[in-house]
Amino acid sequence: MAIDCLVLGAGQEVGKSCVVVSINGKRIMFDCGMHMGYTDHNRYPDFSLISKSGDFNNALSCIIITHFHLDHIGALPYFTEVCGYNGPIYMTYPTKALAPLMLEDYRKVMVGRGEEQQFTHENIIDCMKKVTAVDLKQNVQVDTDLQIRAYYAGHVLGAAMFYACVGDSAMVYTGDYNMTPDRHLGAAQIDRLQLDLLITESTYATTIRDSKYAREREFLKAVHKCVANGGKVLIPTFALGRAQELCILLDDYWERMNLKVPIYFSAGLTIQANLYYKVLINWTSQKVKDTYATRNAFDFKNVHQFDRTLLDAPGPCVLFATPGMISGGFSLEVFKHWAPSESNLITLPGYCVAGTVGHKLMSGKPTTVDLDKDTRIDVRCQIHQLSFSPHTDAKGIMDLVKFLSPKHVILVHGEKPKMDLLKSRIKSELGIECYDPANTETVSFPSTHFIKSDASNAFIRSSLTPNFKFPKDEITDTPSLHVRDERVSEGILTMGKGQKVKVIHQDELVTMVGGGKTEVEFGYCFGLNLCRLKNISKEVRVSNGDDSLLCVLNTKLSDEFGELGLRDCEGSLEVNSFRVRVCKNDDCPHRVDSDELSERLERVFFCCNWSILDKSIAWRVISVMKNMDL
Amino acid sequence: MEQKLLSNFGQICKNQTKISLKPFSIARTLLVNPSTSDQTISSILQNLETLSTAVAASNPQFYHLHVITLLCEISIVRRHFSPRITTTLHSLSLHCPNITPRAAGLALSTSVPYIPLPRPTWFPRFQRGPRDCFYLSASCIVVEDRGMIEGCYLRAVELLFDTEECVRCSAVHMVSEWGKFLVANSEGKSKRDWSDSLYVQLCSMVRDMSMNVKIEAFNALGKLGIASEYILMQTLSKKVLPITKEKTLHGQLSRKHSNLPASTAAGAFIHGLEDEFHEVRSCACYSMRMPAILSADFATGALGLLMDVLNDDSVVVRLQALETMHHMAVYGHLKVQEMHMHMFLGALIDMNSSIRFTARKVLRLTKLHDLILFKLVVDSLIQSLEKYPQDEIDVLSLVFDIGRNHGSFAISIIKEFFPEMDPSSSCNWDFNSSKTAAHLVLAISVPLSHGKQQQLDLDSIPSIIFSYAVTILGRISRSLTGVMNQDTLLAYLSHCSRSSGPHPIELMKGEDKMVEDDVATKIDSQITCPVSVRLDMVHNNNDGDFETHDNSDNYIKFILANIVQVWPLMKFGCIHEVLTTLRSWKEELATFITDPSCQSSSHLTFTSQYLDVVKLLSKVWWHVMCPMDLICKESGNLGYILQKLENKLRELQHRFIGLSKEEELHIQELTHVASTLKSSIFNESLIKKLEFFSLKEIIFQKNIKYMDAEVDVGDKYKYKYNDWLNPIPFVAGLPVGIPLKIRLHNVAIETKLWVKMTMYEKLREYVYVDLKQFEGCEKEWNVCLRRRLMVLEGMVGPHMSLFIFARKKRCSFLWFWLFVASEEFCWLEGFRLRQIL
Repeated sequence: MAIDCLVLGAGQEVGKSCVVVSINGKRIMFDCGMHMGYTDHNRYPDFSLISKSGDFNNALSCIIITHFHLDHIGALPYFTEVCGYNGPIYMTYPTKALAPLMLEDYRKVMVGRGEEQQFTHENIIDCMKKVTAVDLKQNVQVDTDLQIRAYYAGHVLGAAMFYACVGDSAMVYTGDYNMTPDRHLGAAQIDRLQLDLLITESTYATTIRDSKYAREREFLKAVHKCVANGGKVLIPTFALGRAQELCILLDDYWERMNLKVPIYFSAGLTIQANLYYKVLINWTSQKVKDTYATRNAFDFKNVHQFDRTLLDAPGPCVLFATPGMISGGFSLEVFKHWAPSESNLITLPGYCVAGTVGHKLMSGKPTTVDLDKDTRIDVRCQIHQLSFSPHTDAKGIMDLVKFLSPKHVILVHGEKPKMDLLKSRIKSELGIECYDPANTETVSFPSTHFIKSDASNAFIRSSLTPNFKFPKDEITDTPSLHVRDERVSEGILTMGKGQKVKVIHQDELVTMVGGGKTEVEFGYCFGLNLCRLKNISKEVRVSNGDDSLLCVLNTKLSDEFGELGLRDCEGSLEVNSFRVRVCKNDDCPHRVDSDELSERLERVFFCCNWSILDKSIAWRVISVMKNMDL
Repeated sequence: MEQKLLSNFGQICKNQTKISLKPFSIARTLLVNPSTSDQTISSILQNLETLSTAVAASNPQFYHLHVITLLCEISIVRRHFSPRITTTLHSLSLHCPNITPRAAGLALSTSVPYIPLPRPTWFPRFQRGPRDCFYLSASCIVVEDRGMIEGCYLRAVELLFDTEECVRCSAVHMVSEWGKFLVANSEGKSKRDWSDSLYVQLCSMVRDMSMNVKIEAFNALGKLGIASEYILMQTLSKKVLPITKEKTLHGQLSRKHSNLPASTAAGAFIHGLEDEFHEVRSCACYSMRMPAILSADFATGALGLLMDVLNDDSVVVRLQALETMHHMAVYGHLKVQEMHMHMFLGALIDMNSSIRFTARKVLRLTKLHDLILFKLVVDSLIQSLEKYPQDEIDVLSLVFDIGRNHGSFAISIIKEFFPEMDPSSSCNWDFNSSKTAAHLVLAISVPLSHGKQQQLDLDSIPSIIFSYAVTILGRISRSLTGVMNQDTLLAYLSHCSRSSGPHPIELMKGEDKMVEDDVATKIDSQITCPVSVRLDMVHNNNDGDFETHDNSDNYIKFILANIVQVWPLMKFGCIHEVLTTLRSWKEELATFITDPSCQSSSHLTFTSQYLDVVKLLSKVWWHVMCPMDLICKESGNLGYILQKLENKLRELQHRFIGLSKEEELHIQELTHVASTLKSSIFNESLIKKLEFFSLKEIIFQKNIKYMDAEVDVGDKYKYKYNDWLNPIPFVAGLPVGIPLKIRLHNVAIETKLWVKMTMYEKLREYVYVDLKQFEGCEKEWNVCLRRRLMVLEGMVGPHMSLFIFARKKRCSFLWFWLFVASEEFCWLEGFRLRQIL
């Protein structure tokens, strides 16, 4: 059994996220996005790699969509309606609610540009009908083997990370996520799981962002300063996400500072988006949820609907307008009116596509902006660039990988050189295998497979009690306490023919195998000069006989080995497992005999036995005894 | 209801044949109710004890888990049951050796901080260890084996990686507790290594996904002692600092996380402060206090973060951030810069009044470095005043305070501002506006500014301003109630408006001078202790018009009368305020003490020493009552304070002659309280006895006298060069005379006087000085000592009065100790070193 991970999109690039993972025979497609930078066949992932025959229904177990951004969902209607996939599709409730809006919006733009239409309005509706919505932490049984579960990912409303497990193998696909909370969305949140594979985004693989408070402070300071001086603030934003975050930030600040300057939302989309947020309150940050009982945080106190007549009204105000990059529409119109005044302020989002007014404002400090051949606008207002991002930074990625500690990590959704750096960090700092495959590449590795086995009662009993060990420290020779909770301690795995695998306690082995206990013992028999020994025995004054020899030995040895506990047993001396006795057997098998026969008469033989544990002690004793002979 | 539930519980316990969770839920119901009596809890415990041995047979493991959990809960909610619970747990572990290790771990982690660790049998196999011994003492664990502590610590570290949230939570607790033992039991370099690794280990847990684990981790961090500076700095930066890069610390012994890179601590506090949950954020703010005290660099870095936190959406977090700043300010680590000002001053106009109040509290202690900052602050205060007129009293008093602290800045603001309010100018000036009030208060604060008055260009304040200030006298005096009362203020204002400035109203110079002096003393005597008087306000609710005292007697009376009211405050836990009050009173008293020999000074000395005693007593009280508080750890060793207190009390008791019965009784009472406090360290139940103790008002009935003595070694020139190179020739056995000049104050002629001379610790000699012999020489005697004098070692009885003349071993100088005693048993200590040879 193995896990194969085929990257169809977002491999070493950002755009058209699509990864197909085969895990213990099940194939799951994570995300089905499109690339905004292409208009040719590169726009969509190469679906033919999944199945040459085009029978996607049998080739895939399910599709999982993490959130509603087009680079994660853009190709879905094409895949289901044009390519003909009819299997299950999973996404969260907010994603299901917001995705058709995004797709429809995109389709309209395409039609507007006069491009070939990839899918129709009906396609989108039909596609969404196939979708199963899931809730956070809800266990979804896709089929008998495959189970999936969604975890909160931050990033945008409804974004989720997905956990999938088949049998004993498990993996997590993060999609885009954010490890630091913002004003309206929380931080990614996941349990500590046993994983074989983690596929994570790596948009900011090397960036480490500082505290978000600093960014907020700069923004608020700029806005406050502007309105305090009677200026107007234009905040061009995308309809969903940033607008709400900034608005919560401002609304909160307004309330705290007791400011009375009006905040306006330009008509249409933004107000509608607020509506979605109000409904999907459960997917927002903790703070929004907490205050929900008393007040919906998206019922902004200081926010009013904008009226075109207010455009040139005197006095300070703050206005949110779409689109974000001032590429046209209402924000451009307001820009034309407000840019020439020095007291006004325009905030720009972190990223603007080249060619838009936003991009022009970002690059350098233009004093004039040419809208078209005939229109030139003086720009005297202040510009403030926002640097909020809903993606996690490098530290966040490392933290998540460390927290989950999977066996393998695959990086997607990032730039190659940065991903390489992050890859080497994960390998060196966390010791986890990491890959960053390019598009259409496949990464394979073995999956976890557990084998069930029985356990004997004795083994279970021994495992239930805490297991404290006192291993000896070789160097200092002091026992150091080693507290371990290894409930699978010291068992023996047995596999009999035709029997189930079983773990037993070590004491049970002998009875189970039915054999006896065999111990290896070392033997050594050697002679010592009897005269010398007798001389010594005179010194210590003991009677003759074999016992007397042992007494002599005892007195001599106890000087050296007293602390080890020299015992005088009947007819032998013992130190731990070492045993020495007088040997009368001339054919002793352990006899080491190199001496001449003539001297034999004056010699007495000692036979020693020991087990391997006391090897060193044994040789020490023997050498002491031999030294006595000298 | 309680009884009903209890009987229900008892019945179920007795009658149940199979295991159900019902008794546990009933017990928990009773437990969570704070009004449940101890008796009930006690009988629950009893039932649990019998239960644990009886019914558990059928499914012991499942059952014991519940019992243990419940016991732990009881031990947390009702701490005084801890010892009993320990025994129960102990017996439980004896009966059922198969309690799972996790349960044991959980129980252990909850028990460690509250109750003595169970006997060794709690871990049945601990007994095997040849050198492991536990000593069970009354209130703390003494574990004598490093190996064992290390083992437990590392085991806890392993549990940090558990998959269960609650296990991780307990593991954090366990790591911090065992880690503290480990640090306490190490020495030198390894002590620092362990404390660093403990700190980093806990930092690594703040990136956990679970809120509870994060809170637990920050709480643990807040309680930790010290860590190396570079680690502290690393916690403030997400980027790994160069110094941290290669460092690794002790980690686990096994598994793959075998060592702990110091970079794990990166940005721990930043993560905490920008967490999603306000509970975590506020804990993070709190846990920054300790390192901010220890390291000024850390404090500077942390301040930047905390200022940003003032932008947080949760009031609790903002408040906690301000409190932490206040804490930093108290320890002198608050360095506000201009970049902080936008956020900080924003807090002054916050919607929430407690935020505004705390911000002002911080501002009061803030040192502003340049005029720009000062201006920003004053402008914001005025803005805040305009927005929230209800804050006027506190804001104006703050303006007054910062004006006094930054006199020269205030002057330059006044200069700018003054032309605007000139009625002759055409502009329309509103004299009732908050702005004017603030500026006027600022102006009148300047002549009273602290220190360096000479350097201030006081003349540049137009004196007419003081006349303007009189027009809003009521408003100003309301704000300054803590500093001076309306009459004093009026006197001060009218004085200032006449005395200086370009407007020549100086009519009678001589008289004027007199007025000035008068006012100065009046004001001084009251201003130096603003806090104390304000505290009095709280309790007396009077309008602060205590009489002006221009002599010390009245002041003494005032202190002795008001000190009684300090004690209740003490009991409420306002230790800081109490100490500040006492300190300022004492400083004030010190100004009156000029010559201890004159009569009125005896009262002063008594009062001053009495204040000392009260101060020390408050400290000890605080130590004993709130041993967990951070502040008191800072304020020194308890044993040291107790010793000091006892000495002071003894001195108070014996060095004053003519104390009345009541006074002596009160001092006796204080002595008793001190000794009770001392023994209550080992026996907490004694504290209850002190519940009704309070200070008594002392009114001097008679004239008391203060005994004192001075020793002066006569021939200065002879011994002038007596340093370690040229010691006094002092040959044993030879008669050497050292002439001493002894001056006694208030010592009766009947008093027996001994001089004690010590050399090399062992050689001690006593000389009797017969005072009658010197009678008539007025109050000075010249005593010539000869070394042949009798040796009285071992005979020093209570009836002897002694001068102790001790010579230190290294002989570079001489110590003079003075023991004077009256007829009764007394010890007096105290010495006055006239001359160091």
